[in-house]
Amino acid sequence: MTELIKAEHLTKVYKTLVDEVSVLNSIDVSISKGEALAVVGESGRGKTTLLNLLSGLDRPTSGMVFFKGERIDNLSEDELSDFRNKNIGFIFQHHYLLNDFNALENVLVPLRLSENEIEQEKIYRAKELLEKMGLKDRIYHYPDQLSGGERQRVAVARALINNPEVIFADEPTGSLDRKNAQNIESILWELKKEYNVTLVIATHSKEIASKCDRVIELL
Amino acid sequence: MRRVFYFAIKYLKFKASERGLSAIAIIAFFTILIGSTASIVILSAANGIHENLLQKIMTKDAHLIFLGPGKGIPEYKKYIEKLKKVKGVKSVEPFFEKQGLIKGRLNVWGINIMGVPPHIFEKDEDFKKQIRVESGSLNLYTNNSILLGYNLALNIGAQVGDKVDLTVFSEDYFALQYKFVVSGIFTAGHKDYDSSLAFISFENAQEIFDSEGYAYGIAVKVEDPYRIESYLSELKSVCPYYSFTWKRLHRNELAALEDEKKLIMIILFFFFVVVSFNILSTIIAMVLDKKEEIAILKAMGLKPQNAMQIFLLDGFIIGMLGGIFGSVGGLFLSLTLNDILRGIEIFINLNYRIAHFILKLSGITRPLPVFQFFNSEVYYIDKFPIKIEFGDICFVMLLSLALGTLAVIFPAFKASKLRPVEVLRND
Repeated sequence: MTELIKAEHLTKVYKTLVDEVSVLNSIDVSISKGEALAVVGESGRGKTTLLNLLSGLDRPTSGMVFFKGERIDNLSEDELSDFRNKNIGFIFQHHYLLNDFNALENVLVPLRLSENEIEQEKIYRAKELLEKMGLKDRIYHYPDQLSGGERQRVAVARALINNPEVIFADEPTGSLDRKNAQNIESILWELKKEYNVTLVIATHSKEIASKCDRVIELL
Repeated sequence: MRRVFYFAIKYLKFKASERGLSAIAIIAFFTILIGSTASIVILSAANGIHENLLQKIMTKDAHLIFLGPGKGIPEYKKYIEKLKKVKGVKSVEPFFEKQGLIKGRLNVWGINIMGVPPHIFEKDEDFKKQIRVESGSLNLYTNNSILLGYNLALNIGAQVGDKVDLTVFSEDYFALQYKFVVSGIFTAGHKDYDSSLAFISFENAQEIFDSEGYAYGIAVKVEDPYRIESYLSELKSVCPYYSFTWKRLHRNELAALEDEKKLIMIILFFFFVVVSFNILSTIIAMVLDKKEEIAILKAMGLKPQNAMQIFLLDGFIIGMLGGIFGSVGGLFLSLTLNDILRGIEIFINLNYRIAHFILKLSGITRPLPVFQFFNSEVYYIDKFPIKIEFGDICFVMLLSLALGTLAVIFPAFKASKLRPVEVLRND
């Protein structure tokens, strides 16, 4: 399989006022296109940090991150913004929907950030994604009018709207009840199958990890 | 820019919980609106008072005076005819202005004697506006008649119909005494005038100052006294005597008025600084409120400078709308200020009457008090003078716009520096 993301000797040290906390220490990671990778480990082991570094959301203290062979950890803030917008989809434990935007507008936000005018075709795609998430009747509802599960499904649709190469999901079901968590999980696997999107999931759930192609455990 | 505009408008427009305008934006908008409204009213009122004082200054000394040496200007009638032909000249009158002593029943008083053509009180609009008859009439047609300022008449103990002694001094310092009859007592809205000014006819002035065929000076009034300098060269070319514009004669008072206006502008500036700190705090609250959203937007690709532009645009829009609506409000309030004050007067006086009636029924008799914002007896104005100047409206609007935008620079900068990974991690 084609290598999509590669990280070499990734180290992340957080500096506080009194001391330094090393979270990741010289980690090498390679992720192939279309792969589903689970990052597991106890809390505080650096799952979120690893996802942030691989997605270009944060910079490593040392080491390098490559995306399709191009180094991304040394890009400028503006270049990183463009990179994330075009290539990455994010799903967080919390939905982080914009309160002042309805479900459709929230899904369209990544496009709003890169395009001045949104083509009608893309609006149809956003609606289609929301329909696939089972939110046909919730398209014009605001986040405070949606349930927790529905909000997370809108966040999944938002992560997919730009046809990203890879989706980084940080505990995507962590704040949901069992039923909604299962629903989100099944949606993720269906989408992976349909769009052949690369999935990098940080999770505590053994069930999710077992369904992934590969598991990295941070000790 | 379009995407920045989209998010800026979104942040101003809605609040998820209420589906209405953002409370933070409303507070910032009303802060600027009230500030602008108050500023326009203050400036219009200041201009009105300024204008009122200028009018009073201009009334006494005309807009330009020519003065001759010794006895004055000979052949003055010839010059008057020539001056009248200059474009923009409204009126040209000869006059005398000298010092003398006046003796009434009680006192002797040093005064300014103005010798003016008697028709001036009927023809000159400024005189008609500013000089108010307290008793008698403004009649100088009768030989040896004199008009006295109200306080002057009180000081010397003179009434209409009384004979007063007017003493002037010849070139050889001989005291020459003349009898005049008081035909009228006036107020001119200025303490100095009311306590030391007396009018006599121009012909009588020529006689008592031994200046037959001369005019002490020639007073010229023009259509636009504020631009008196533009008439000067042409007027001087037809009348080759010393000339003084009203601005030069009253430069101290004018400088004081200008300083007052500058002071008001400075006060307004500080007033707006307070307003801008208010906006600063509200927009900081807005940025803090939206911290998570800015972080997620940045995670999804919002560039740091775009994050800054969103909030700068919000500040600009708030400043612009606040400035426009505030100026409209200020204009409306300025134009209706006198009606509003009159309404308040009526309301308070109605309450006084009711209270007075109740007291009367209870057997307590008190004089009925009358509430007035401006006692015309004291201020010589019966309503608040208002003058709206286009420049002031522009000043207030630009100030609103500038401070609205400047106030959000800091929070906008904070938004641009926000690191999504920190916000999303801390949450």
